[in-house]
Amino acid sequence: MKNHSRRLLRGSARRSFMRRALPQMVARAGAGIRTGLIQFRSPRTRSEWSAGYALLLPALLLLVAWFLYPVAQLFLLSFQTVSKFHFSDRTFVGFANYAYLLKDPAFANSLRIVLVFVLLVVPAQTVLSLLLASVLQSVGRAKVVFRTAFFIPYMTSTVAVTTVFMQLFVAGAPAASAATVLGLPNRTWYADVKLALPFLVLVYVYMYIGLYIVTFVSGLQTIPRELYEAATVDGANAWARFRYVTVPGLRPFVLFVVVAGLIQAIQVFDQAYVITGGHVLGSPAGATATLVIYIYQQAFRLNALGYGSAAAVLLLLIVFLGTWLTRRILREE
Amino acid sequence: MQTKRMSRREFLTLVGAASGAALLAACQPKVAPTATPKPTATPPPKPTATPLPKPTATPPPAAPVEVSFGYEPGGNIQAYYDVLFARAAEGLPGITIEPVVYPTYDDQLHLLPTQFAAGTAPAVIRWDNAAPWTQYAAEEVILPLNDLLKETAIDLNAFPKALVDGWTIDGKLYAIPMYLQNSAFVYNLDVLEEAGITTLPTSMQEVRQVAKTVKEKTGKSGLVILPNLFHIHQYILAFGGGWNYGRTINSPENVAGLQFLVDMFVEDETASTSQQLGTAWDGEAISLNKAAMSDGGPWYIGFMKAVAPNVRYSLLPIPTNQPGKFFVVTYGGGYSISSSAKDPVAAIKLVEFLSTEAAQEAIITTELGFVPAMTKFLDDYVAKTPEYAPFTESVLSQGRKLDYPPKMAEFETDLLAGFEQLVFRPGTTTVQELLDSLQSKYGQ
Repeated sequence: MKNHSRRLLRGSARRSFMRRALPQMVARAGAGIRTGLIQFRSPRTRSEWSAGYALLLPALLLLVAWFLYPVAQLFLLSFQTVSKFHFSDRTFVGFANYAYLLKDPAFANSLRIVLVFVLLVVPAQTVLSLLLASVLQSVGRAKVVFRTAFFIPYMTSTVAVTTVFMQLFVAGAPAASAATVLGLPNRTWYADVKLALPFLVLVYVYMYIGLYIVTFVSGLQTIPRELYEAATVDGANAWARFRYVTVPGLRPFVLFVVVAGLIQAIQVFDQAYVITGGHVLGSPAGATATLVIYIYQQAFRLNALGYGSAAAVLLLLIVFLGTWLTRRILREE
Repeated sequence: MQTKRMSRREFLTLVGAASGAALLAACQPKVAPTATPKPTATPPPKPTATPLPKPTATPPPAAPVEVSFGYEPGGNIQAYYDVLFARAAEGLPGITIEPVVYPTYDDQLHLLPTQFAAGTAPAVIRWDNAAPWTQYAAEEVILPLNDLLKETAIDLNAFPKALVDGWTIDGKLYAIPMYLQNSAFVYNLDVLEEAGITTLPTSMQEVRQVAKTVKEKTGKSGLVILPNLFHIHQYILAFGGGWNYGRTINSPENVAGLQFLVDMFVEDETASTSQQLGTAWDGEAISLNKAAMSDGGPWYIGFMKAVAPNVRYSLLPIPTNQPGKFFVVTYGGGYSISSSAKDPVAAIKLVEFLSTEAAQEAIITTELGFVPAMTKFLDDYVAKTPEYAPFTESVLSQGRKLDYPPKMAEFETDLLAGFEQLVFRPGTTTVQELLDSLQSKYGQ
């Protein structure tokens, strides 16, 4: 039987199995998991609806007070100029804030920096966390220890993690000195225009990778073991199992990690603020002037609340657009 | 067992009430960014076995008035105020001090505009006149104190005239001086000795030369600067410049001063920012022997004593571009009252309490690291702090002012962004271009 199945799956049959049948099996299994929560439909009475909405009411009211109202204010402010000391003194300026924003080279610089940051961070943290999660699956009992170890940076204060990294990457410090092996200069990374953004990427990926490892580890547990066994029986090696079983089985989780990673990376602020010590934001010379740093600078340092709000509205649109595009691309794939 | 079922009406009423309560709770205003224990001027009554007093015609004592007081607690400041707060029970009857403690002075300056706008600024604010107080005065978010002073026994003649003038605009006084502050130039004698330098520079040209020698001989930074408006201002003044409240931002002297600093970074590569040296500020770099020189001030005295007692350093007036001529900037800290103070009279009483001779003397006894504002304590301070001896009364009386443009915070943000462009991306702009653009944006 064993010999027979091996013979069967040689050549074109094996390729066909790997390319079509196996992904379909995985997809079906995934769909089963996704629809695992059985939907019961039963006619609801009016009183049940009322009670349901009544239970939701406190949350809805808080949502309106803490989310919808500020967002509405944000949109309103983006069309106004506001007095620094008297918030009630507002003047409607139409689209002037937006027009100025599109001409501002500092805003363009922030967009460029965020784009580079996202392009470096999202693939790096997705691939690394997926690989590490896969490796963790095979380490047996120590899995919990490693998973916790990887998750600790995510739980630790951003200021603490960034400060420790700053100490490691000062000129002459261990990490900065070690990096000279790669031909990099022995400089203070976060104070160097060329190294500051890579430094930010390093800190950021280090902090968030634990979250995504845990996500992928959970995802891996949803893939039926039979699929791995079938693939092994069919002669698939470790890479083939990863490529044709793990990756398709984790598609919903990959989608989550990419979308969540994108949304978070676009809004990076804390680490960039900490490396400047709160003094010259975006330092050195705008190398870490992310979009949220730009918004903060405009609104709270230059006291241009209306202008900062316009930039925040654009950030919101960028996050929506980025999320929609990513979801669409990954779903089409 | 029978349980009572709640009717739908009762249930909806309960949920509605809970939602209302949640919203009300969420909308409670918050004033203080950080909370610290309230020192009370009036101690809480102790429970005693005394029988209840019989009703008399005497009106009940008024409840103590709460006055919020904003400050940052860095260095020994908290210890200083702890001493004063402990005396408040006797010295400030009927008033409870509510401290509003900002994590750092930068945080204080960044938070205050929002607090002014929201009407939640502390009633009494301790700050120095490096803060954008002129802008706040123009916007009427801080009170002129002239009329309120009549409610107190504060004698302005006890303070140097220059300090009082430093807080006055058009005859209106906006703060009661607390301490005298001045800038200085700091030399790390250990690093200079390592570089074989035995004579301290007497001009900015010599500073540049010494910095080159230090770099060549030791590899260390010749000069360190924490990029902010105050520190850049010292080099502007050293070349005879000044902002003159926005009238002379792009003057040739200012261009020369800023160019000097930029050249030390770009051409000589002998200057570093504190960030480049991996330190939070210039003093830390000096204390760690990472740099030979910096501009600074008397705040180095307490810091070096506490952090690097074995590092030899010297604090002297700042050299200029004219050999043998030196200068300092004199300014000071003080207490202002915000326009949103609920009880300005109670607020000025608190200021009076914080400005007594005893409070001034405590600046010395608690080793606060500031020079008391009252003239009579200057000699005591110098006697107790020999490091401060070079800053004689004559040096201080000729001190230059902080003549920042009115929109100081915005000006500083743009100046520093431009300075970093000049230093870290040389060739993208020039000093002249930067100061010209600032002149057109913030000039008067």
